[in-house]
Amino acid sequence: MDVKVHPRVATLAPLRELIDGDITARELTTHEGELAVIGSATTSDREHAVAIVGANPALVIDATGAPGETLARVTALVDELGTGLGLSRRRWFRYVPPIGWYGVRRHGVTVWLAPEHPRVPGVLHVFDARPFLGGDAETFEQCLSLAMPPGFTATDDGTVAQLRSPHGLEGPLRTVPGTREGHAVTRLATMLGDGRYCYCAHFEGAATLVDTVTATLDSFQPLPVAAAKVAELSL
Amino acid sequence: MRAVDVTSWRRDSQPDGSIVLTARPVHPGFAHEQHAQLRIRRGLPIVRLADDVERFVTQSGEYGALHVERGADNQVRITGSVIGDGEMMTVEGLAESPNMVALVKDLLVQCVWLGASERIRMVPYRPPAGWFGARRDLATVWLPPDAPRDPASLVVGDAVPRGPAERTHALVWPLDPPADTERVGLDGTVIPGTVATWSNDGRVYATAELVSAQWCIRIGLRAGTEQQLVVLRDLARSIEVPPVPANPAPASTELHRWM
Repeated sequence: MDVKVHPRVATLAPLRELIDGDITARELTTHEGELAVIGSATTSDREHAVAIVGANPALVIDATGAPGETLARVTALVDELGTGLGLSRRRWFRYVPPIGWYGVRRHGVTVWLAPEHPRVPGVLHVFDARPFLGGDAETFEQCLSLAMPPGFTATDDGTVAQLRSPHGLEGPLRTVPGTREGHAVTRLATMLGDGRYCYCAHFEGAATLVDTVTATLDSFQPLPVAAAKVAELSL
Repeated sequence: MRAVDVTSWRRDSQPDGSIVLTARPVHPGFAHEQHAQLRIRRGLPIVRLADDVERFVTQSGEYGALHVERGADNQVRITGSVIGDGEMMTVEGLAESPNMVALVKDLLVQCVWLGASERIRMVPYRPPAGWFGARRDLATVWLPPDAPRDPASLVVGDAVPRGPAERTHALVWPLDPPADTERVGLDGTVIPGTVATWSNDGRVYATAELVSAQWCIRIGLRAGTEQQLVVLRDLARSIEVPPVPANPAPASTELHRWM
């Protein structure tokens, strides 16, 4: 059996690009509380199994060997090994992106562009989950990361509602109507929490896209809790 | 000068991904006629620190460095960086006011957050004089001045938080000595250390381990000499423990008015 462990993979590729053939894959949570996926493909004399633990960077385990043994070995290694990335960092989390929108990755955020943007404006920023920092660090982080582009003129103060997602995240959702370059747009901003992490997002675009965006926010899933005795997450 | 002062500054995203904050006129600390600007860059750590920099530790437990250039008429340019492992942040401040020095340092020390302080991370130490260092995943490999004629290498592992990550580091960097190799105490280290030494084919091998309740740091000498064993011991004694972050704020999801 040939096993390769890559502790820090920065540029992720989908499983289908890492394994040839018909892939069987499953998602899981490691003992460290990291999201992981393990996939394998088997031929008559060979099994190729790949595990991706965490994201950006990820721990990748790539093994080739006899059928029936390789996947078991990779699964065992996922249980044994730790990424050493620390839980109190920016982390990708599970959610359902808006269908048909185009996603672009930036530092700490994924930017989703509506299908007909800019003709029908719609830009959704979904920020990586992170611990709430508090104090000046939180203010500075929000100034750098969460500030929305200038050029928006609010037509009124908007509303703040309490959002409770089906997956247990809670937080305020601010909605503000306004204009940009004379065109009517709506701004949404939310900061959901689960007591450990903040899940932030903001949107500016056509009012007709608000329901789509709200559905995406409802799909946010909290990050899993570590099962093993690792250092407690400090918030 | 607190970080909240810059949140009211004009914010512009640049094509290179940096963020430029420009002080609005009549801003506290910066008079109307004194233009003040901050450029903030985030990216991978590629900086090589000059000797004439001020080094510091931030409240979030990261290492940083600061360099100030002063010109005529109170002009000042200050460049500071907070250096993590997977990323860093650089703040460059320009102003016709000495207040910019305090502002940039204030931001770096109190406000910059890069991520988890409990990660596998690099730590400062005194590198062996004349050796060439190459950065690898989770460790730095040092080669002697006569490499490759001299086959020796010194592997300085990153500080690994105790727990499952130790297994990963040991798999990527198998520095364990042969079974039954005696370990002796290593004096003069910041955290308790031991060293195991053995020979193979006339070359010296050694693994030093510095272990505390929170961290494990391993250093391995491969295919070395007795003199290079001294280099390993000196390096181990110069290793610093990762800094501890200041007490974090309690959890909250208060939405700030950042829209």
